[in-house]
Amino acid sequence: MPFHSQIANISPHCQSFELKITVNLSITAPTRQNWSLFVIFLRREFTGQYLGSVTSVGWALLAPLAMLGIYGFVFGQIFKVRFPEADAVGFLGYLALGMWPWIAFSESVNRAIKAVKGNAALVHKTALPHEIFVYSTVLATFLTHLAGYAVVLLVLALMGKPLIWFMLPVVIYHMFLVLLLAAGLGLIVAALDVFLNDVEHGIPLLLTMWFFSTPILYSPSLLPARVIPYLDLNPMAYIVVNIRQAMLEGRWAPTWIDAAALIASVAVLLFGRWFFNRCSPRFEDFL
Amino acid sequence: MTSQALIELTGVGKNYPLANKATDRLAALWDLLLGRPIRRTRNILHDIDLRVLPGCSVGIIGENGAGKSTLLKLITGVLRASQGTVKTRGRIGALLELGAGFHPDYTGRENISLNAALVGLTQAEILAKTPEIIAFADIGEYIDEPIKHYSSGMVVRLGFAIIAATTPDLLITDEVLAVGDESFQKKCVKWLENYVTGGGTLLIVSHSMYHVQKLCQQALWLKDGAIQKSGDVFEVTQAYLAYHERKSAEATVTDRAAANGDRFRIDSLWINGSDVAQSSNPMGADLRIQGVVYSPDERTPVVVIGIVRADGTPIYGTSSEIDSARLGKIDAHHFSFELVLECIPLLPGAYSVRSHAMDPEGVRLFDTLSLDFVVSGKSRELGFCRLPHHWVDSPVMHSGVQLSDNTDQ
Repeated sequence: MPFHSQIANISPHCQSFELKITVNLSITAPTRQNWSLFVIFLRREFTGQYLGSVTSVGWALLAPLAMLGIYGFVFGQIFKVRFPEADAVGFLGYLALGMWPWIAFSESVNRAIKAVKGNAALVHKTALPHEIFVYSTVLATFLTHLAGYAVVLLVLALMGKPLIWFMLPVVIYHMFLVLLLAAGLGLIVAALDVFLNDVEHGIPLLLTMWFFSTPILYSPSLLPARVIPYLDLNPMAYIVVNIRQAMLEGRWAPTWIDAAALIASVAVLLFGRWFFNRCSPRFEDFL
Repeated sequence: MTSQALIELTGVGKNYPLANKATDRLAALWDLLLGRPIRRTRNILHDIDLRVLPGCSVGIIGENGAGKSTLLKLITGVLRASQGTVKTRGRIGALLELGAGFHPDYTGRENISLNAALVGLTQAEILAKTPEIIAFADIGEYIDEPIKHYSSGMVVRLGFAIIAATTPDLLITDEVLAVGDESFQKKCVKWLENYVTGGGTLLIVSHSMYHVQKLCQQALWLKDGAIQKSGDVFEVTQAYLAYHERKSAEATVTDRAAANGDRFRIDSLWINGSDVAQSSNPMGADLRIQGVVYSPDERTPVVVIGIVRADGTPIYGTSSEIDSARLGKIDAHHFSFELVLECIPLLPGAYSVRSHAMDPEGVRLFDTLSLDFVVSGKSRELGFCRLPHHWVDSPVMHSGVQLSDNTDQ
């Protein structure tokens, strides 16, 4: 059983009133039972995600590849986007390096929206930690696209693109940050969706806007100079830029910003859990 | 011994939020995030105190909407109580309504793993138990189909098979036994009886007083979200049935008032000269049923008289029209009837006489008046009626009779 502990007291000062939130993080100890349930849901996510489609798991690779092709054609061929960072690997290679982390993130969040609602039948009848729905959905989606990323990197290597392979652990570390963010946001959107249907329509739109405001299709150097200092406030921009710098330039020198990024990613997950577990005892009432 | 209770509810209440409007839902979300109670709610259950010790069987009865399912959901942990505390111990298995704990998109096999994990089995234990569960459920190749393609009977079979294989310390079931087919029901009731006699603890919601009395020692009657009566199963179920009779009697009275009293009706009914429930009629004695029937239009009505068992199972019925019996005319509107059932062959037990008034054409049934009676006696015969019979002493088989060696004759 989860034990409740007073982890922290956050007291944000809003304009006129003081809002005191007691963070009551129920540490759902990964008991053997919860672990079994998680494994069952995760396995089901993998078998069920593309179940009924002919090409099965291939879609997970095919869809991003198609997007890569479209963006590559439109921006690389028609608009002839050129910037120095992409010279070595070509526009497609440059795009691919940033696109898969984004897809792993946005697909995970998108699929998490329905994680609770899609399991309404179970919420109504069984007593299980609802967090499991979100974690299994997010992890399954994330791992699928991580595998796709591995394939794409392999293809780039076979094509003889000059990628700096010993920086691969840096990529893996940043993908871990992606997972933390996706899980944290996934928890929030899944809980929100139980209360508000609008989430299903609003979040995909927000994610599309987020995609274009992140330097994936373009390099940060093309942005107005006054925007660049604030770029790291967008966690996905921070991650994509770092991954490209590592793989293309072999550069990653952690500073206090990177420490803050790690702490912030963990904080997003913890806040997501707090948000979700505040709502989850009442899911049954609202579904 | 306080800590030994499997279920312990103290002052439990449950409020459901009003959640139809988006603004209500948003306000509720805000309340939740601030950690305060939701403001706009409707109370479903209140002040429920309940202790269930191991080995007890408790039947929960009550009208639709009384809060029975909500109570079960609170105990299983699906819902969290708005007031009071819910404590449970041990492994809880639940069969709530149809498809309890099943994911409609998962196959039978996947749902087995899921449910077994929910009662706390490890993956290895689940794998070991799966063949047993599949055999008990006996649903053939449907086991690899998604649950949503199952018939309701198959869902219950699978659910019950999982419960049977995992033998929880506490079994909570909603009205589920009514769904399976005859042979499966038998299998379930037999399993339940073994479970209860083997020390299992059972919490059952049912509208069948027969099942409740058969399986439980104690009962809990919920009315409008509160405990109306609890205790010995017979006391509670009888009080509940009496409540229903009063309720339908009131309904009949208002019916009559509405119809201005001008309908065919049974005015009075006697068994062996008494108009109160008969405590004892020796088996094999005559049963004399007399009464007065009212006719609004001076035509002679048809009287139907039937004998039913206490649980309502019909045994025999006849009418003045079938038997071409003549009623006696008391005055313009009142007719007397008298039926003698000779040497009633009913076995000892509780029965009732039901009399109905019908229009002279025998088409429309207007009124029912029943009167309970008990047949007393000592008999170990089975069933509820003695058929005329005799055994032939030391019978000799004809040479033509073949002794069959197949048993399914």
